[in-house]
Amino acid sequence: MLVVSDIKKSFDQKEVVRGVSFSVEKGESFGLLGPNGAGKSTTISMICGLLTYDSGEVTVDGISVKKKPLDVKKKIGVVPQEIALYPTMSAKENLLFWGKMYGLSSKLAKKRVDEVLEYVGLRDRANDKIETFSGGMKRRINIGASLMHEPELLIMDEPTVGIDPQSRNHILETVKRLNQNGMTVIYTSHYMEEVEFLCNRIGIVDQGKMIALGTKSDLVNRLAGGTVIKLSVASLKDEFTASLRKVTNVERVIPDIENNSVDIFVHHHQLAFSDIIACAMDNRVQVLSFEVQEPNLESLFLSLTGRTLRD
Amino acid sequence: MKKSWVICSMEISRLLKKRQTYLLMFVMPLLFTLIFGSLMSGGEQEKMTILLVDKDQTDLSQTLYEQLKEDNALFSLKKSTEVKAKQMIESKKIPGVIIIQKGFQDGMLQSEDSFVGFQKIPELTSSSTITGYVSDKLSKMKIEVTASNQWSQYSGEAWEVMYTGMENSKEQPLAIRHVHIDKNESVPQMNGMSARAAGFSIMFVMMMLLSVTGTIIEARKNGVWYRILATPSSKLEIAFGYLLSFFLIGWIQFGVLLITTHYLFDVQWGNPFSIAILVSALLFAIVGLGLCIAGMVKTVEQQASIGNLIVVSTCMLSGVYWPIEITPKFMQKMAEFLPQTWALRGFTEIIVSGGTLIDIIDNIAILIGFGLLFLVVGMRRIRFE
Repeated sequence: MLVVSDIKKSFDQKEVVRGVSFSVEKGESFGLLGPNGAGKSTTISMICGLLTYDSGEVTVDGISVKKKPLDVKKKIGVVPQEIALYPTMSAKENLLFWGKMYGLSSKLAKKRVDEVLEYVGLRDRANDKIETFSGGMKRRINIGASLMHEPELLIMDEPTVGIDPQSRNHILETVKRLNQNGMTVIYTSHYMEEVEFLCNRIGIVDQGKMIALGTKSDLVNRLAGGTVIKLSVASLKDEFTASLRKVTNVERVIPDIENNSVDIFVHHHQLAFSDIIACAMDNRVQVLSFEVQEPNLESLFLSLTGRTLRD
Repeated sequence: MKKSWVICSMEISRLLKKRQTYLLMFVMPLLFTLIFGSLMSGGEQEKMTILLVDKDQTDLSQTLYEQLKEDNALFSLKKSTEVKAKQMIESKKIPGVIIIQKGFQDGMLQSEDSFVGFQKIPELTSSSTITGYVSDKLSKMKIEVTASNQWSQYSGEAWEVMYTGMENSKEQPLAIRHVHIDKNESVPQMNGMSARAAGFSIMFVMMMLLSVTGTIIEARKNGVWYRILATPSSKLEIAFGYLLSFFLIGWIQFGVLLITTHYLFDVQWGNPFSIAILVSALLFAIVGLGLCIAGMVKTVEQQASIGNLIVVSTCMLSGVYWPIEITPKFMQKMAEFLPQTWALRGFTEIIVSGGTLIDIIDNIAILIGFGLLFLVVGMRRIRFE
């Protein structure tokens, strides 16, 4: 369905996307995970034909985005990060407008408005102005607007930013349902749990590069020393972190001097734990608390970049 | 172009849903036209009446009466008898009387102008202006009569021959002017009300359009612009949709103001076709200016404040609030570079002289020129990415 081949983009001589490649099959749900400023939105904008890429190629169903952007745009539904709606107009008027902008006839657009409002669970608020909606409701209409023309590929750019957990769950369930009904979905987020819940395959982007790509299990298995022991200490010393690196079964040590804590990536945490505590005692470091994290995308990102997704 | 119409109709319906829009589009310009138009055209009715008593009853005294009456912005002049004038001034029914004494003509021929007097009531505050005005007329007359008299002595002909010749030469037109008058139709006058109706319509349409062109900035800010660009619509369709909406909003406003000022204030706008073309050219220039500003500023607030500053200052310079002729020469020169000046000249030509499209073709060409210039600059600065 979608093939992205080594695309690059620079703004004012600063390269923000540095050769991203991935492909998405028809009916697949693909997650693009990365911290803020990683280049996800720029990548999405290039796929949608909103930004031209400096090099590389993007095709949707074999059609080049650069050569035939309008043909590609017909196949894509975009859910932007912002609530891209007219606040003084009703939900119905907004959906009608976006339907017509995708070339629907008035009759078909009206029919689709009812279906979409039903889908996002806001049929009873059809004639209310968007400005009277809660944040979660606005987000749902924001998604609805991109479904009006029944796109083959739905691209969602952080669609749950700044909303309550209930609305967030509603949106995630809606996206899951759309994908189960055959719609191809690309979902970008810096919330690992959302991507894990929705996506079959995941790409992790950082500093304009795709640093990991695969199914969730592929990625987690790739993580050497998958379990993370987070240790909080009274005072973190360099000698202590150096000693930790020498402990058996410890793969990697990432200190956080500012917060007096350290993330220790280990194999067989049951075996490693006693050695780590012994090391702390040898170095006269007082351990205040500890936490054991099973391998996940967050720990993979931490392992690959030394930073967390929310940094 | 279907997408352009979708954008255009959305923008118009969005605007017309706001109540405050009607205040700026229609109520304010009508109110300003009423207030300022009444003030400017009310002067003629409030002019005081001065009586003139002609004891000399000669050709020159009659000429003086006619000259005092002609183009007189200070007072209305009426002839009266000495007795009636005396009664009227004693009862304070009139503020003053100009008396031409017997021997006025003979005195003039001997270069004396002391045969004209002015009686007034004590309450009259503008007597010095009136006497100054009369003295000015007398001085001119004295020069002309003296010259005619001199010529008479050399030529041997009567002085009246030369004097009449001089008077007639003043009436000869300096240039040929075509005035189109339709049968059974009154010639429209650019009175205070018409001038203010045209001026304030221009000003408030400018304010409205410079404000609505800010919708592009608003759309960029709230993500609507991003989403519109994500639809299968070309840049041309998108740009044309917005431009069409601004243009039609301007026309709705100007059209309503043309009709309401005609029926409410009896403003005669002249040839509808010429007016329609002139208004379209003006709207094109204003939309261009609005886009130009929208391309240069970052927020809707900046667009509104810079837009209003430009509108108010340029309207002052171009004669929207008051006749441009009363402003200093350098300001009149500056006004040549403003679209409102050319629009107002076009309105004057159509309203006062019954001008047709040919008569205002220069104004239209200049307004379109302004529009193209602004539009090119504006469109280059509006980002489609």
